[in-house]
Amino acid sequence: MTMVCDVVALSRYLDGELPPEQYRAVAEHVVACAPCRAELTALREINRLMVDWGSRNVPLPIDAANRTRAEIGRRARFPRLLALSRASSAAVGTAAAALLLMVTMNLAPLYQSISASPPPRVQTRTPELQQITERYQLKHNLESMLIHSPPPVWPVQRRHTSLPD
Amino acid sequence: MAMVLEAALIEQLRRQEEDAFTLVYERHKTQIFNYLYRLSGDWELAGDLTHDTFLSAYESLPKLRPDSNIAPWLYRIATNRFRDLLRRRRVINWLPWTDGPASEARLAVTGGEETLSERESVKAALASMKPEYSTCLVLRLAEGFSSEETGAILGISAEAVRMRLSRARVMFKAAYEIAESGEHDDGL
Repeated sequence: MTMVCDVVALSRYLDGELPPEQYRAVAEHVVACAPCRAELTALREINRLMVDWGSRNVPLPIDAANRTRAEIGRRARFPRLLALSRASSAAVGTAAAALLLMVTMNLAPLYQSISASPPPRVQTRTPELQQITERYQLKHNLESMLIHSPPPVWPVQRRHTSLPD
Repeated sequence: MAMVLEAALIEQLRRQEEDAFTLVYERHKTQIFNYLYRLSGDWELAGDLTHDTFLSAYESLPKLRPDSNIAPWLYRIATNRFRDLLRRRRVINWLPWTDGPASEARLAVTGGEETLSERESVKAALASMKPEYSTCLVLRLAEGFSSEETGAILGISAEAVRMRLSRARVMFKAAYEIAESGEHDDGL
């Protein structure tokens, strides 16, 4: 690999953007070096592909052109109104951002205090307390059964009325 | 004479005169539309980007320098709109670039089988490249701008264009080979 075996030099050689001395040196090198010759062929192929890619011009669709013409006309006729509307929308956006910032800043200490507070403690019952609770629960259940139980249902005597014949 | 007319046109443009801008639009719309198609590979998208390009150009008329050249100025705006689009797509992870049936039909009309396959591969290869390289390749080789003109459009030096073009060719070659092998695999 010599100094001339270099893709940058080959690229410049292809574009004719080398000083005459370097140009001659690269040309001589390419004759002797098969990999550089292959590389140069590949670079020429890229040039051909790109020239082909740039060779066709398609007109801009009419509806797209009309849209732009209309918008330019509108901006030319109402420059102050548009500038004002842009300024007002920018002002609304800034106000909304400021409001959001203020709300966030006000909520931040509250959130920090909530997240910093210790978790609720879990009370463990002692055996004595457990007994008292169970006793109380039993009593309460009995009372509620008495209070809320439905009234006794007595046998209902049906009064038969005799229909006139 | 042409220089004087161009200077007069630019003066009118700087005053945002509608007629002057309409003249610029009618002169350059097809050129910019085709450039954006060559970059994006999508007719519909190229139409939308052309619309955005000329509206951006209209808005920036007061900032147009008296010594500006109109075509490179429009190409610069079009390139920026294309880059913005890619950036937005990367951020919101949009759908992959595909061609609609309209573009398929149009290509089928304009080219034979061989050319169609070749162009599809060119399109796929360009779409897979980073925009700084694909724009350089398209401006320099497909649009036919010199290194100096390409540099003016991209905002880099002519020397940087030569370096970038060399790398772009290497990248294109690899991407084109992948695209071609993909097409042949599909055909099996």
